[in-house]
Amino acid sequence: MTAPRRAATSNEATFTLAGEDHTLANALRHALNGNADVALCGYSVPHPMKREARVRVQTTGANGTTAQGAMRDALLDVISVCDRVREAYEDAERAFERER
Amino acid sequence: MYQEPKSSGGGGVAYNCGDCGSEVLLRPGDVIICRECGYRILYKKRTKQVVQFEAR
Amino acid sequence: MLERLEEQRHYVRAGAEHNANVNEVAYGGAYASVGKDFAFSAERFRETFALTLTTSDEERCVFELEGCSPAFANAFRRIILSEVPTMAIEKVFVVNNTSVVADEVFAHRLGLVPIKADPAMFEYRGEGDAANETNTIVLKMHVRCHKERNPDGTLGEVVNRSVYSNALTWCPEGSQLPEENGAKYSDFKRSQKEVVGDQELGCVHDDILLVKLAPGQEVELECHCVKGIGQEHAKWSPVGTCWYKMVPEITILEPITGADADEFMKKCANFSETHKCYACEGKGDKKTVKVVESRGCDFCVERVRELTGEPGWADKIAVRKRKDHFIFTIETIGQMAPGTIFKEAVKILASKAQNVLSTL
Repeated sequence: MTAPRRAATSNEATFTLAGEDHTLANALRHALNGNADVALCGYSVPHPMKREARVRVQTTGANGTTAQGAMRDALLDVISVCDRVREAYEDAERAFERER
Repeated sequence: MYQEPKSSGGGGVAYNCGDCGSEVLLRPGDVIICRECGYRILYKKRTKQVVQFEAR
Repeated sequence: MLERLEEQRHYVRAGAEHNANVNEVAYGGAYASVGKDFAFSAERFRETFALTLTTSDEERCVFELEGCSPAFANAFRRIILSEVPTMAIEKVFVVNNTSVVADEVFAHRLGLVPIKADPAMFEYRGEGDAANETNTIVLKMHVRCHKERNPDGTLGEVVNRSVYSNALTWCPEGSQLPEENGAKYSDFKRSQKEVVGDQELGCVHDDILLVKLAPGQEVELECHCVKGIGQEHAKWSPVGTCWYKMVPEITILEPITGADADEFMKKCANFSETHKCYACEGKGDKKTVKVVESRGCDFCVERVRELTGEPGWADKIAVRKRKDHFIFTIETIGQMAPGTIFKEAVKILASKAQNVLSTL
């Protein structure tokens, strides 16, 4: 991924996710929008034949949240969601086996 | 396993009959006809080289 | 007013002509002014998310995701379709093919045959990498169609008229083609049996018709299978289909009584004796429709939706679909169990996020 150099301190940035598409970008967009300090977030896939997605983040600046900080939180949220889904699936499998 | 067909070599060129599939050995000047069934269309044999294809 | 907002937030209204409230409100603080916080948070997700498995066998599973945004459900679906790796035939070396199927067409056909092998045991084969026991599975096939000769010398039955996928046999020692210009077709350091343990590699199904032959026709070839993902070519997709749908909910808005009840039962409920999604209580003018199965079934949801387009019915009954409750179905093509594919997809999404995180 590439991000503008000032993303670390700025409250706005466009992150370019190389090799990614709607799969990750939309999930990130959803997670970022849940953050109360994010004023605006959206993503685009500039060209369908180029494997690249761009995620735009603007924060309100409240609580010292930078664009990069919000991005980091969203990525951790996605990982946490995945952990929970995996747990839940394994539990559901066990419950299904018990009932059979 | 991957042997050369017996018929190729000195005694002419082997063709396949277009009708019955049997092998026909032709020498220069021979009539182009299958000796088994009399069919007059004969096909050249496929290359013995291994040909590579992409499975797409 | 609040009720209306909550309905808009949580349900799609499936109307006769169009669906209403289909959009997800992107901005998390959109409902802050009415004191509602619907924003996504990982903590809330951990608490409210629920997953129940309803059907599961070797080839198909159905489960429900509750409290999950379509952003995640769709990410899992997309990953399952195009990013979970499998093994598939990628190169075909044709020694002989006198069948009516052209070499390239046959090669394409072979590519689509599901290969039974655990992709986790193999590595991706990069451009220019030699075929070795950890990145390539070699399958060979040599079939000739001919007439059997009877003991008395006469010709009998035709054998190998149809060639099925069981004609592809595994070569654990690597390619058996002779070297060409000093180059070997594979570079196996050891037997592939040491890599895969005691499992036998081959095709998932042994009854897929590959080609039909006439007497005298012959096919001899070797296939090299490699690891790949569905994004590159659909032959690597581990599933036939994978989809989710929102859970439908049939709601009676105003009591349906008397003649209306008769009409409703006639149009939406009594088309089959075994259909039990709705029932009637009372007699004559007091007759009232009760919803027994609020999800309806494959046969009645559409009938009800169409009925809402008739004059007067839109105020009485509605088909709504829950925006954060999905019925997710995975239908595999047999290489991997559907559960394994789903867990793999979840792992892939997490690793995507992890990759981005490491470069941040």
